Amino acid sequence: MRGARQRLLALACTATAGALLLTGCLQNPSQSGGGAAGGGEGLADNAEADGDGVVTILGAFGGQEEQGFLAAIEEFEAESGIDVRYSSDQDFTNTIRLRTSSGQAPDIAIFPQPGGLLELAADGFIQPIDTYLDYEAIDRTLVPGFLEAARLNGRVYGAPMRMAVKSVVWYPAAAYEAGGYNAEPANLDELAEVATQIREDGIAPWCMGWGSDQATGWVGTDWIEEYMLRLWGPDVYDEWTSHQIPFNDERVIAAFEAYGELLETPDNVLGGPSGVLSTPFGNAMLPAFEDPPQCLLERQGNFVTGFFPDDVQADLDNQVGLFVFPRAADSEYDGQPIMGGGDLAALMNGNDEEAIQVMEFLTSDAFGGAWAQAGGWLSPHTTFDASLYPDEITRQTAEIVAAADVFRFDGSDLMPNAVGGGTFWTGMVEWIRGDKTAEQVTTDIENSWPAAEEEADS
Amino acid sequence: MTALTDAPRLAKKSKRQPSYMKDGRPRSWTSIIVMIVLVILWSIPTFGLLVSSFRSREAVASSGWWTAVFNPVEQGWTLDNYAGVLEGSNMGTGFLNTLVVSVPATILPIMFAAFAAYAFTFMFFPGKEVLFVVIVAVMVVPIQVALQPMLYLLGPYGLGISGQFVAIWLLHTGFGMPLCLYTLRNYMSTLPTSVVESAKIDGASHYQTFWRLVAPMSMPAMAAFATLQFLWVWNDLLIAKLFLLPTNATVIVQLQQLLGTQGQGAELLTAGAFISMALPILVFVFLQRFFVRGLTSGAVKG
Amino acid sequence: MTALAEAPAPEVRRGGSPARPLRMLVGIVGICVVAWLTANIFLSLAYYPQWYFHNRILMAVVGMIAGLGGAALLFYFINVFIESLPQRLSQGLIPYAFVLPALGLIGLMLIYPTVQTINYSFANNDSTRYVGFDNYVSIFQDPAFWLALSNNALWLLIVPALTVAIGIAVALFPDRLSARGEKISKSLIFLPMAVSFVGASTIWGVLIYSANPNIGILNAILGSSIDWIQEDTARLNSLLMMVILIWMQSGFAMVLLSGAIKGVPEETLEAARLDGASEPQVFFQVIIPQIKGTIITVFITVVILVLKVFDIIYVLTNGNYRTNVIALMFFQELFTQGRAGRASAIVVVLLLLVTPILIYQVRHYRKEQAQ
Repeated sequence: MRGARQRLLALACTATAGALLLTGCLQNPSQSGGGAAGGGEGLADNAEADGDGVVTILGAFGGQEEQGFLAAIEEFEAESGIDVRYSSDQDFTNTIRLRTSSGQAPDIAIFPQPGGLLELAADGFIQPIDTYLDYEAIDRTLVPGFLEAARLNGRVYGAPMRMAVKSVVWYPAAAYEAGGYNAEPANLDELAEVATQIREDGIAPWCMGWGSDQATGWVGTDWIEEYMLRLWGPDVYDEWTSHQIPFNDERVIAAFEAYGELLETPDNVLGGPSGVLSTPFGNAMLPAFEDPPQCLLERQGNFVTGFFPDDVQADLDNQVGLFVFPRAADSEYDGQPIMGGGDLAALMNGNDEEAIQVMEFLTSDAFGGAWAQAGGWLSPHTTFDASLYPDEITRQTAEIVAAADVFRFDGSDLMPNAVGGGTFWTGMVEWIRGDKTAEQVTTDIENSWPAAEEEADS
Repeated sequence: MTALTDAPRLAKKSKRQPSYMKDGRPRSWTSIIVMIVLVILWSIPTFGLLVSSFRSREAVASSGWWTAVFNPVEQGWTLDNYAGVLEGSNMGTGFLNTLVVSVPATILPIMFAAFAAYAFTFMFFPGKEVLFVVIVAVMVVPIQVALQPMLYLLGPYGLGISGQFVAIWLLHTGFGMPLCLYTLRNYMSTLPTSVVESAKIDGASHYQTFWRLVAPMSMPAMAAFATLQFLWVWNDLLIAKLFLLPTNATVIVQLQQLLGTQGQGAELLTAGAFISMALPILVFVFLQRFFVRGLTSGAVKG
Repeated sequence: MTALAEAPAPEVRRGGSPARPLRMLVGIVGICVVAWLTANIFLSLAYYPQWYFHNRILMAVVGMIAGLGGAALLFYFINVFIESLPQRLSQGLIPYAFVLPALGLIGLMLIYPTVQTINYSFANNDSTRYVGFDNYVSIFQDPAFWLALSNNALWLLIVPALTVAIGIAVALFPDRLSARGEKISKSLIFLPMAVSFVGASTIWGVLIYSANPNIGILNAILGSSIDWIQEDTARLNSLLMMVILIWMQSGFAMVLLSGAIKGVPEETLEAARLDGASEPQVFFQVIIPQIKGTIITVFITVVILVLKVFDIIYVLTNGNYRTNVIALMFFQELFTQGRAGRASAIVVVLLLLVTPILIYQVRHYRKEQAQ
């Protein structure tokens, strides 16, 4: 009997101790009582404090790019008195997803790919830009079609603060000019002729590297996208990236074959297909700057200049030349398409006035002066003051976009992450190794496309 | 490779005149040779990394580090990688933060697990077997499955401590606990039970037996696990970047933030790896006294 | 520590001692005060950095002291409380007091998410609707899953055994070197452990396995230009990635095993030698049986590590070239593909894979108890 009473007493004591523990603690003074996101009013909110003079930003870029970004907002911070705290994460896509649902989203997220942005927008974590920005004004000055990448169910959820141009062919100026090759091929056939001439001179025309650790394959997807745009035009391209036509459509396979021809022509690519796979993409162009050069041409985004040898980077204008990756000679579409990408800023704390101010600045054409001067950055606005770019090469890349007939966002970035950051990459690897044919690879990718419709039905 | 060709010569020499070490034990040439070969093999990658960390990106991409060692002229030697790391990040704060994270995150799981391991080894209570098996089983569970619930629990909708050091101590303590418990229990079960029995007869409580006898005797296992846990916490990126505020960022988190969108600046990581390795190595050298002759047997006697 | 000194005199009385209310009170108050104080110190560190003059070093030290001291004091007061209970109750409760803090954390951070995962493995991809065994059917029909499983089998066959063998070698041989030789060689074998998995994979991928004979030392030595990481004939690339893990983990095996080897009493060894046993005989017949427990611990630890390994493969191949393993497949399913259902099912498969270890543990446990 006594034992039972003792036990009861012990139990009561434990319970009291537990209750004390739970209630006796401090409260977080800066908690803003924000509920779960995506409420009825459609206001995206995180659990960060509003109006505290601090705006947190999460992005995917660190290092020198981060320095450039910080330089570009320094003046704004001083004028507005807002303290912008930027942090970067290499694994942005997963991090933002993990942090968001637990209320730890940053005030502003800068998405390197629209896919992740649209996913979070669908879940109500992102504020549509028309609710706080002047949509018309931004759209007027942006490269046409840029905002389409962030559109979901008719509303746009993010605006670009940096642009990448992928349809550029780079070459070492001295060696290329010494060979007397055509520096302005008008179409893919003329480009192929250039390649033939270079081959005849005993050099492999194309420098190519796909290696990118776990992301190996993305360089290949860029090539397929370039061919899709050129062979079939922007409309088919849009249908392809939005899965209105199946991934294993014969037009996609034709794009694989067009690229395959470039790859598999003997001596056309330095190292051949297997060398391409084992060369880190950042090192692909290094053999072009050797003496004598081992290859001459690389099609890659404007960020590739950051991977050139230091002495070349210091003297870009004289050492490097570029031309646009040209249109196809006889295709269904005769305009000059440009493919690119960009970082999209999105507001995740819809009731923070300061975050809105920062968004207004980031997405305007006034943003980026200091970053432009530091190099490696392109404004997505056609009205951006080109004199701020540090060199002719950067100005030329900006002009290529301005002169293009149509701009399209990197297709793999638009596709669901399971494809655009998953099976499309691995599929490219299987294809270039010859493990699978274009038909097999595209069918595999088609089968891996997330079945959104089926989920919606249930 | 030279060690291999030297082997027969050395062996012959040892037969002619047996030599002795300072402490009077005979010199074992087999051990010396085996260890030289293993140490060389084991050091090659690290040494290559060290050499590469002092070379420019283009040099590393065009010639091997061994060429740079054997023919050290004009090999793109540079201190830029180290300068880049030190300029691009705040290593001082980073090291401090990492220490603040690692030290409690190493000691706490050992403290908690040691008590539990003692109970699992020397005490009898219902459910003991089942509990232990569950603990062994969850060792294989990838911690990724716990990230989402933990972010929620520690985040602003829960306890609101996410971002602070406490949160990460708690997480590392929890995630490191099964392995620690497992290692310690297995070690404790090899201890002579007679020691514990006699302490009981002397009237010592379990608490006293634990502190005075079992904990000191388990020092080697604790030190071994401490090394492992310290290194795991030190090199952890996943938990640190998700659960620490940017101001509390550890060295490893800062290093990955040196990279650009397409991985620009990866050459800095060779230097960064060496900077971040420095302290763990010191810790090992310090803890090494737990693994050398004498201590273990001394503890058993005491 | 004074409390230890005034610990109760030996009580061998059967039937138990009565409760001691005063000590009980001290225990309870102690537990509450310590818990309350520790929690509030932590929270004040978080919310009121100005109390600590924004001094990071001070905050760090306070935090560490609060964490470690708090935990130690908590255990102490729990003990005081329990010892104050009548002896029979106290004897019954004390194991739980020792076990509960550890188990509580494991329960919160691992068991609860595991149970949730098992639950989600029967649900759809965003865990909103039960789909029965669909996820299991789907992964079992996926040839990629069986490939990953076969790779795991290969890893399990090779890595733990080799790690233990090398661990024993590097624990044993330096034992016969001079003190300085031992220290240096052990430190160098240990060195790779200080490198992160991702870092180690990158180093090996570039400096050792690079296809370019000017960069990768393996090709330079062999005079070839093979892309080792892509070479999936006879799963060569998987084997090469295992080398990385063995390289990293031998240090761990060494640390644990050398502690055990040094624990073998010198007298036993001497006795064996006097009986005329050769060194290999001493090793196999005296040392090995003595350190068997530690060998098994290391072996099982490495087995579990191998089941969880994914960073090396993720960085070097991302599962391409027939190298995928289930832990990486789980990661890809969860994050890249966003298929929580299938990812959870894979975790359940992982849990089933450790069943043999669990059975072994239970048997081992029973044998121990029987002794």
